[in-house]
Amino acid sequence: MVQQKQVLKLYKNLLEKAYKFDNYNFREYAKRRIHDSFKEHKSLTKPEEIAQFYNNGINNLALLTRQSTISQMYTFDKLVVEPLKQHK
Amino acid sequence: MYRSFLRSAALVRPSIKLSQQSIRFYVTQPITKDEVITRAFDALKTVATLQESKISLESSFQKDLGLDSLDTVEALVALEEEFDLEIPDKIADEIKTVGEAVNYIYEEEQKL
Repeated sequence: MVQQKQVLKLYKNLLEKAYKFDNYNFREYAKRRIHDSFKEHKSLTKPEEIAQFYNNGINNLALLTRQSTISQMYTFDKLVVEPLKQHK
Repeated sequence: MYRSFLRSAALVRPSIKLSQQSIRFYVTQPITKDEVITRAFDALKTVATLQESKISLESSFQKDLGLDSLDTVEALVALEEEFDLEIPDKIADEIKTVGEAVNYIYEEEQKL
């Protein structure tokens, strides 16, 4: 049985990895995708379905970890749509 | 990434040894509470479900801003990324309002 705490933890881990993408498009896509799929499956009640969704998420976390690490090996120019951070 | 680079660059304090005494040529201003608040609010605005909401220090994530448990996690991750720190689970569970989050971040920033 997957606990609510574990699901939230997975959600947090996924988001943290998503933020690590250097490329704006990848980063925003990953954030949006994680958000949307958790919202979509919010109403799951059967333990088997939740477990399946949870395991799926774990696999995706591994994928995100790999890809965001690779993403950091390359440099990307900032896009015009990206807000520039003002450093004082 | 860029931010963390700047942060680490700022932490390296070059010092020159002059007669056994090291001199630092500049000081880094500690972050002010107002700055924490503005940056925190800006970061929270990037969370999709918070874009339209009126954020204040007193507003509670779940009650006033109408976030569910997922959105609350999302808001906290946005704050973590903005300030380049990690909020441990135990403390994250206790943070219920924007003000509490800001206070925690402010205290952590003072320790740097």
